[in-house]
Amino acid sequence: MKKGSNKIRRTSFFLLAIVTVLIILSLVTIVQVFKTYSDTGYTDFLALGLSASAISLSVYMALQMRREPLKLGFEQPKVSTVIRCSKCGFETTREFKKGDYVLKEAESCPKCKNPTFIYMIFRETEEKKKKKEA
Amino acid sequence: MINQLLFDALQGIASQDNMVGLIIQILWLAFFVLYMLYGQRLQVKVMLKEIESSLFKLKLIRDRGREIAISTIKKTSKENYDPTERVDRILEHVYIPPVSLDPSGIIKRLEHLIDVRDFRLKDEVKLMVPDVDETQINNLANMLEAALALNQIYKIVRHYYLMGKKTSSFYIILQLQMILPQIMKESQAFASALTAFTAGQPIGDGIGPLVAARLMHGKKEYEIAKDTVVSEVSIEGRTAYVLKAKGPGGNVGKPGEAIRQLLEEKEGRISRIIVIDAAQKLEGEKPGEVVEGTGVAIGGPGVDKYKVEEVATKYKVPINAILIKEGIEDVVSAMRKEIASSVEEVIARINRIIREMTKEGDQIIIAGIGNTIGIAQ
Repeated sequence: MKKGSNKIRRTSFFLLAIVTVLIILSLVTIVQVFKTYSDTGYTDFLALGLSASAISLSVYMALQMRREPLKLGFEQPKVSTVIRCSKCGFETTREFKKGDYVLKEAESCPKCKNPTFIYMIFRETEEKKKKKEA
Repeated sequence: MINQLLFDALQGIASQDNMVGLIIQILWLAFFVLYMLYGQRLQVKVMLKEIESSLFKLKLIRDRGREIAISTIKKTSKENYDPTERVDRILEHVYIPPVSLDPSGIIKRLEHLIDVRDFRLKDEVKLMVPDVDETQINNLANMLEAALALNQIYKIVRHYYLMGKKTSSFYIILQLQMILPQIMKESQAFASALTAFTAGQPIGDGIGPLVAARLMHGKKEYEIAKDTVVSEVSIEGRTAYVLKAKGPGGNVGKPGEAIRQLLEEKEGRISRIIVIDAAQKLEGEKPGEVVEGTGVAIGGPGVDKYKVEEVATKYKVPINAILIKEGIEDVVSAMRKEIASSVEEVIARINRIIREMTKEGDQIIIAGIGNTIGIAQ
């Protein structure tokens, strides 16, 4: 399965049309302002300010639309497997592999060479990841 | 020119004695009247739009679930078999609960129907992938159940959406919109469940079997009821009969029947029953929080709960419950760390209950309730 293939981008064509029209109108207004300035020397700061705000707002909206992928819940979480030695209690953690289950016998202990078993399988929560990143 | 008009309009609002003011007043009045007449319809349209977008998401979840189920079975099958038709038929499978007009004997009828449904699903899996072991059959059956639940949710929401749209009934749409966040949460939980079942990972509901597995580790076990195993463990000088569903395949077993059989075998000489299960956490509570209670903590349709209550009452055996709090999104998705880490605390509480409430030499039953996927014994 391709990683992230279950994330679907949600793009509203209606919003996209509004953003496009806003940008076009703003650009036309800016061109008009410059034309008026070159013809008469008068600068329409109100029109310039409004156009600039409309363009920045449109760009922001477009970015927001791109940023929000539709999460369906099929995303594979990070699942870890904890292996523990039944004699010395030495623990190692690795990524979950298909076929792992709790109490399954694993490879011998790297410390005392005694048998080990899968002690725990768990998933890391997203909130923790965010904290770690911060 | 535009500035002048804008100025006039603002003046009109302020003075209300010129033409622009009059027009604005008329517009306001028209808007008010229209809102009075068509306000609810407008609200219905907005709500329908919201439901429509959630329904679209539900459809995507349902379709993706179906795709995963088909591709997993295809990958598991050694022969070049296309399970699409059979999977589609399973996803439309309907369960009809027993009649409750005459409640006498309903538990037996309910148990029978649940068993038949369960066997049917496993038989269907065996027909699609005949060469796999029991663990994989159970995991695939669980995966199909999750896909079936997603299909049912989508169809029910679609039904009420279309009914609301057809009748323009404000109250049908309002009710649907009110419960939609909960439905979306449940659907996403089933989507996560499908991923966990496909990989054979332990889920949040498996905390009961996980505790039981830790207690049973290294001890000999035997099957006491269908898909349910029991081990004799010595704890604090008492003999504990620790039971759980047979793993590591996705299974809940028959804990009610197992407890009933143990109590009947021992003729009631059991001083305490301790039931460990996952419980729905309330908003604000932490996942993995451990609480204690009295009563039979067994979820599901109620068959096992009824059996334990009946036999415990017959022999007057006290029942303790140890609950591990989990959110709805954690119950069927891969077990989160906080829940897995609560095992030590649960075992400490079991030991404390045994020390405080039983005497040395007593016999007790400890039951780990839940789906044992990814957890052996």
